[in-house]
Formats: sequence, structure tokens, C-alpha cells
Amino acid sequence: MPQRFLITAILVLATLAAVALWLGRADIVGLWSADNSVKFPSEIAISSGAVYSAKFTDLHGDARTLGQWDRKLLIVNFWATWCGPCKEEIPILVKIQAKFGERDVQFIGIAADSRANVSNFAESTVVNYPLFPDELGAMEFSKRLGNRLGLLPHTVIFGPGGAVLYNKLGAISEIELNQIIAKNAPINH
Amino acid sequence: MKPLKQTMLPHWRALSGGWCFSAAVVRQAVLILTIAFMTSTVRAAEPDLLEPERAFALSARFKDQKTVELRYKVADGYYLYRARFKFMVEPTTSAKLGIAKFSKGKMKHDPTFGWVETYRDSVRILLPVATLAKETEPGQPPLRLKVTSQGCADAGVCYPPLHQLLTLQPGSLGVVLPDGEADAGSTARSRQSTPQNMPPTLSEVLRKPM
Repeated sequence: MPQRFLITAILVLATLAAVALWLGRADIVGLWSADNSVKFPSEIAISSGAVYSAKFTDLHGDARTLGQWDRKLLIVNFWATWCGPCKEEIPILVKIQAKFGERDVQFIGIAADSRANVSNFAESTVVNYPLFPDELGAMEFSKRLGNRLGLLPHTVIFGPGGAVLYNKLGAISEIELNQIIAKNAPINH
Repeated sequence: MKPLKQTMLPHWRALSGGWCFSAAVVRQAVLILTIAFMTSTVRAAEPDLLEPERAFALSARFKDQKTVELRYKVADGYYLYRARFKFMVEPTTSAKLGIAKFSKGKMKHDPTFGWVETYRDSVRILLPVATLAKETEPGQPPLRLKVTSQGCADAGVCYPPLHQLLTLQPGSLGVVLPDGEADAGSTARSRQSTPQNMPPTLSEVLRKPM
């Protein structure tokens, strides 16, 4: 009887694994972690220096370079108000920023959108990290980080010093963010 | 010498704890699992998203002297938003556009936008063109039409607004042709909302597929 059960179980598990893989949900069976991100070019031809020297103007009209966060885990989220999945994930980003802000984790939102649209959005939605509307520059910067088609949302996580730790097209989940931050956030000083 | 079948059966019974699978059942199970795993190898790969011009393939023609007909063939797994279409004639053209008529789309409840009309598979748009007497006569300058569309993929990403320039030859019922063939009928050039005169992007340099 145990052998019969074993064989049945193996067949059932194998079938489940095959179905899960076919559905693109390998994470269901724990074969590897969930990652529905679109494949990026393996190389990113932009130096950390160039990343940190990138300058954007926030909603208050202040020009800021990304280098001011070079000692933090910098999470750059490219988005736009016309992008549904982008707006949908923002509450998660806000939540994680609030949770890990004191652990030197910094989100910024670079919008491929007009200043007026982003300002309107910010008036109706609480966002606890800087927003930079730059209709043209956002897309160009995102493309230089491997987003060939300029798709949104696009999130890139830079470690302290500028190394790209994570690069994802499509919405990023709370679980993913928690895992990456737990592994890479700077130790408090 | 015993037949092979008889020597194998006791061993199989021992393995299965007395539950004897028939050879046909085992063969079917192996076949199903093999097919499932083979197809899973394809599906498990990360998706390669289409270029916007392929995801939302546009063609255009003069339906009659006063109407331009636009058709988008939307690739499987992609959709367009009705509210994001925009049409403009280039300043060099004296024509004026009327109110566009769209084929019926599908209402979709978007968590952030509420109920929105979207198009999958295809969308047909009839665009009235007023005061077009001269432009629609053969031999006259072509109508230059700017069309903006915006859509997303079910993979969970959205394309930036896609601006396409159509050059419709007067009186032509031709199809949209590639760049550089304006004289043959109508042409469509497209670009996304990206900066002009910017240095090439990483991907443009590498020319690697995603």
C-alpha cells in the first residue's frame, strides 16, 4: 500500500508541476521564486556614476541628483498616470517606504508624464517619496537601464554605491520588495 | 523461458503495492506528462513583448471621399484604450477632422481608472474628414494624419503613447506601407514619446532582444 500511495503521489505532483509550469507559475510548486518580469539585456550600459549624476526636478521645482541617495538602497520606480499597473502598485511602494525608510531605503518615482498630471495625482494620493515628472527624460533613463520598449511600470533597485540589484518590468510585489530589502538594505548606523 | 510480460508484471505489482496499472494507462500517463513538460518549457520562459507597431498594427485607407478608415489589429494578449486615441491633421493640410466613430469595444473594470472601454483583437475607426475637396482629388497633396494610441499587455505592462504619422494618398484605397513608399499609396511612420536628438540608448546600441 505505501508503494501504491507513493507512486500515486509522484504522479499527482508531477502533473501539478507540469500544469503550474505550463501556466508560468513555477513558484506554486516552489521550483523557483516568482518572477514574472520581462527579460532584460544582461548588461546595463550606464555606469553608477552616470546614474548618480542624473538630475530630475521634483514637484516643488527643486532639481535633485540621484547621487544624494548614493549611500542608500535606492528604488527607482518609473511610472505614469496613464499606466494602470503603475498606479496600482504605488500604495505598496508607499507602504514599504514607510516601513523601511529608517533603514536607509529610499524610493523615488520618475514619471513619464506631464507635471500637471503628476501634481494632480499627488493631490489625490498620498505618496511619501519624491516624484519627478519628466515626460521625455524618464523614458530615456528607463531605456538606458534596459527597458528597450519603454514599458511601464519599471523598477530598478540600486545598492549603496550604485550596483543594480534588481531590474523589473511590470508591477513589483510587496513580497519581492521585502525580500530584496531584507537582503540588501544598509545596516543602520 | 517465460514471456517478458510475465516476468515484468510481478515486479510492477510489487512496486505499486498491488495496484496494477495497465500498460495502456502507464503509456497514456507518460505521454501526457511528456507533452505537459515540453509545453511548459516554452511557457515558463519570460515573455518577449512585441514592438508596439506589431502589438497594435495599424492600417488605413480612404473609405470614401469624406472618410478615413483606420484599423488596428491587436495582438493576442494586448489591448488598446479607447479614451487614449487622438487624431490630428498636420498643419500643412487644410482638412479638418470630424468626430471619430469607433467599433464597439469591451468594457473593462480597471482598479485605477474604473470602467474603461478597451479593444482586443481589432478596432475599426471611421474618421470623417471635412473640407477635403482638394485633398481627396487624385494628384493633390496627400493628407497627413497624426494618430495617437496607447495600450497595454496582459503581462502587466503598458506601452507609452504611440504616435503614428499617416500619409494618405488622395483617392487611394491602398494599405499602410512601410516608410519610404509614400508614393505607392499611404504610409505610416511611428514613434513613441521619446526625446529627439538624444544619444542612442543602451538597447539601441546592443540591439539585443529583450
